[in-house]
Amino acid sequence: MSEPVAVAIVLAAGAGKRMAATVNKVFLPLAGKPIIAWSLECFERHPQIAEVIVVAAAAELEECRHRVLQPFGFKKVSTLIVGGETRHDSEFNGLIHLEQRIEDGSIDLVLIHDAVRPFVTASMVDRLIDEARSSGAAIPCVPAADNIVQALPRGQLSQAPAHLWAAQTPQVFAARLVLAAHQQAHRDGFKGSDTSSVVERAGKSVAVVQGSYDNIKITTSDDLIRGEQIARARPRSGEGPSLLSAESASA
Amino acid sequence: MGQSVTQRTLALIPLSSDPASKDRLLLTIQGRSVLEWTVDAMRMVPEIGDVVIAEPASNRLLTLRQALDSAPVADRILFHEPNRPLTSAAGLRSFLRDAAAHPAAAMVVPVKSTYKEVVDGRVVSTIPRNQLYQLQHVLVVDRAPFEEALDSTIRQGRVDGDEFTACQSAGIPIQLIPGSYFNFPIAAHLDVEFAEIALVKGLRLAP
Repeated sequence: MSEPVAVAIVLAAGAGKRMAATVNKVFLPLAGKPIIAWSLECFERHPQIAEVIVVAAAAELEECRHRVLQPFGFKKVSTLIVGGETRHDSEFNGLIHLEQRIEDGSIDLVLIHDAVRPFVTASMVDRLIDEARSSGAAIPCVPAADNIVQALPRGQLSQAPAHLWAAQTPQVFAARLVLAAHQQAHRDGFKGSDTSSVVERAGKSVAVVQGSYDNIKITTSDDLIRGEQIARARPRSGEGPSLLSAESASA
Repeated sequence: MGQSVTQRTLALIPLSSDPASKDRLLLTIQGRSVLEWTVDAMRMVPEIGDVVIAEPASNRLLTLRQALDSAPVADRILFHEPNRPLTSAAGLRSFLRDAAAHPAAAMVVPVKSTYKEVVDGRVVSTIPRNQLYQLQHVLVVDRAPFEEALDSTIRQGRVDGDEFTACQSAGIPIQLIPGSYFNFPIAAHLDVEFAEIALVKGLRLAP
């Protein structure tokens, strides 16, 4: 039997309501190429990632094929599968697609990544994979800016909990662990806001790896301007000190 | 409580004593300094009477106390950071209107990421995203109870407080009111470029 491999699941089925754009934001151009192509390029070049699954909206499968996969020639993208109603449903669909290979041990690690985070770097993936191979679950995070507050039920200000960090992607897990956690969540009707929350709910410990303030999530139109700035200013490799700070990286 | 938006509002812009923060206020965006952009937006709001720029004292609370001692009469005070040049008259009017029914209100934007409580490199919990907001350091409050709260906080010897902690320690509830993601602070040169692009693209809430 060959060595088990790491597979990346890239979630691209978001509706993008907050961007108010007419197309799914993953297809919006960022410094000359679609947002989703940036992270696919990182995974394509990364030696420890053997395969990539893209999860897209049913109505956008062809668009994804014609605008991204064919023109950029991503060889590691093996499958394009249909996403669900929510992010949680889409990652579940991705894991179920891999279920048999996870259970027979041919896939040992799964990376789950939001296609709207274009600035993942090879060194961040290295750190996450190392940590996940040793502890089973690793996510990139950055310390929160000090102006995050929590709302009381009637919309009034309250202090946010201490030790707050903003979670990013890719989130990396031992494949069997994340599949089992998701299957349990599915049985219980639980939907997490990220993959880690599903694993946390299953009682598993999740390690935090230093992320980067530049690893922004492109959600609203201001993020697209930030994205253009980062794309222009960062070195070709994508490595190097963060250009944004906790203050300037959007919420 | 139950203030009318037509009541007189004093805008107070506290400056920091930090030299780097001061320098950032002099950076220019389309030929005007960061501070000018901020002040000009406030001057265009009919509900705002006077705009006071507060010189820094030895701490934030004393800065506010010193400024209020000589500030003109007003029913409400609007605190606003000086380094948010993309604040707009339209955005501030809308904020003051929505805030009118509350003794105090703060401008916020919803967070976009999932936030975790992290201890010793491990996730302890996930905070429900719909409960978390990012403060934009714009606060409006009834003047009289605020001044009492401020004096009380100063008497307690708190040197690390600000207008928010003064309200909270006096039990003045602060309502959260949505602002704009473009009302961001200038913290680096990259932010100046961001502001220039946003203005060229017309993404600041006019005027």
